[in-house]
Amino acid sequence: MIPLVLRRYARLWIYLARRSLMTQVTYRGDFFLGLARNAATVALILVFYSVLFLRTSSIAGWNLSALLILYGSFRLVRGILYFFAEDTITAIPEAVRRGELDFILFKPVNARFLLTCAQVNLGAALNAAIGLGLVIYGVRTGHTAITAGAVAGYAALIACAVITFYNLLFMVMTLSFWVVKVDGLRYLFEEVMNMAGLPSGAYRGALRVLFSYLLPLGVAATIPAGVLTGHATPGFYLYAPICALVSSLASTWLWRRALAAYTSAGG
Amino acid sequence: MIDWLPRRANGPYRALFRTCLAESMTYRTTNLIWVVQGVLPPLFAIVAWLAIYGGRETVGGFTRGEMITYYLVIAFAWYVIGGRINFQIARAIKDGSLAHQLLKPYAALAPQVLGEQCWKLINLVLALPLYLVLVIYFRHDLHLALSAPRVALAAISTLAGAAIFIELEIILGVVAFWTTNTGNLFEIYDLLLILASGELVPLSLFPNWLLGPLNLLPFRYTFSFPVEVFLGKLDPGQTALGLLGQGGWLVGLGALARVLWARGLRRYSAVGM
Repeated sequence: MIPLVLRRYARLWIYLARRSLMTQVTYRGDFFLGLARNAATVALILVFYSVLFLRTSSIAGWNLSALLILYGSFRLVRGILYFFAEDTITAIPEAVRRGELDFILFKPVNARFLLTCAQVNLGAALNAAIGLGLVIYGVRTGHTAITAGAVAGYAALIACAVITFYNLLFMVMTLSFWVVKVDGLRYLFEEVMNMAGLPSGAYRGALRVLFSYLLPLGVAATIPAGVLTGHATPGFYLYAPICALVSSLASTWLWRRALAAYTSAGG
Repeated sequence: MIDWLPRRANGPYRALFRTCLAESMTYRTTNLIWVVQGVLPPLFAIVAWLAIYGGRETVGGFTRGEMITYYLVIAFAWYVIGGRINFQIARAIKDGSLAHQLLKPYAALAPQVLGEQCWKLINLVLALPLYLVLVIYFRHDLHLALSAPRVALAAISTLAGAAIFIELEIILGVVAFWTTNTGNLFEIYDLLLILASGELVPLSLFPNWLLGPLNLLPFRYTFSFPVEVFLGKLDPGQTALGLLGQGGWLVGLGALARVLWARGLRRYSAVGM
């Protein structure tokens, strides 16, 4: 039995998503160019990997098939996150700066829900589909035996990655309650997240400390992909949920602090 | 001469330069964010290549040191050659502010071209400490044996590369005279530029079937060629041929930009005026 409140929010999300989709397909030329852009972005990184693999058979112990699974997982995580949250969550700084957040806080719906998934992004859905396609292609060419348990573990770790990076993105955007102009932070977040397109083992020294320990980039791709490529350790199944949980607690704490500090545009 | 570029550094341009500089410094935190963000893609490439080198001396004709130097130099060169002018030109056309610019005592696109140079200048100052950290981090691998003639040739080709880059940006920016939705088009162009200008990987590492077509495009002459000259990867004959190519593209793209600008301006009517 699904709780009433969940059913209500599910209905609301379907309504908002449908409205958002209608807006996106209105400008058909731009819509298809957007899809082409997403495909071209993936093609560019695949060209990069191809050039690398012209001169090597593995990167940090990952062969081309495994790296495709890793990169596909990364696109999948990013695609799911951005499908649900990109267009809304990245508008938070502008809403805070212009005082439009007032209208969201007045609504009889959870404000964080409206600031997270009031719109969907079709281009991101294509990204996720391309990512999944790369994962399937990598699994087929890698000739790795995949069990049902591995698929279930992979799905759970992808969910942990989406939750973790949603919380990180939300926290970054929440900084706009204190700093006037943080538009660039969204792009910085994207570039930092792009660093997950390499196996965690490729990072050495200070960069490993930064991109593996201080920022849990491995959660976004190396860990879920590891389950399908034989690079997994039992610790993966502990580390990823912990990251999801800790980031959720941290973003909730920061969101409450932000709301308490909010004084509207004229404040 | 091209009528949207400054003819001489006279009063209006000095005033515009000062204004652009002040505007560029308004949101310093944002500038710093852009600087940090800009260093991540080359860092990604360096990490990937280092994972390949392992104990090997050279890969594709590049030593480990040359490869690191290549990416650091090309990232640094962005502050001289690169930018995002097309987006600003398109915005001025769409929001009608171009109409104001046409009445000002300077070339019509000077605010966009000069504004971007000011923004890069401020960011370059902020980026210097970050690049110093990277240079120190990779100090054992960096490879740079410079000579005065090579630096002079690199400087000339960098300026020519910057001019070609600006012309390409103008050509793309004025597309907004004909269509309002330019964002995705510009982003696809950016991806092509990253691929074909040597920002992604040194062009010589591409397989021949891809390298041939890429060499026919103007993009190599923006970033890749000046950096190749700077790193001493070209012999005198290749350098001379490259400089000749830059000259050809400079003239050809300049003429194309001029034609598109004139035609676009004829059909332009400012919105909301």
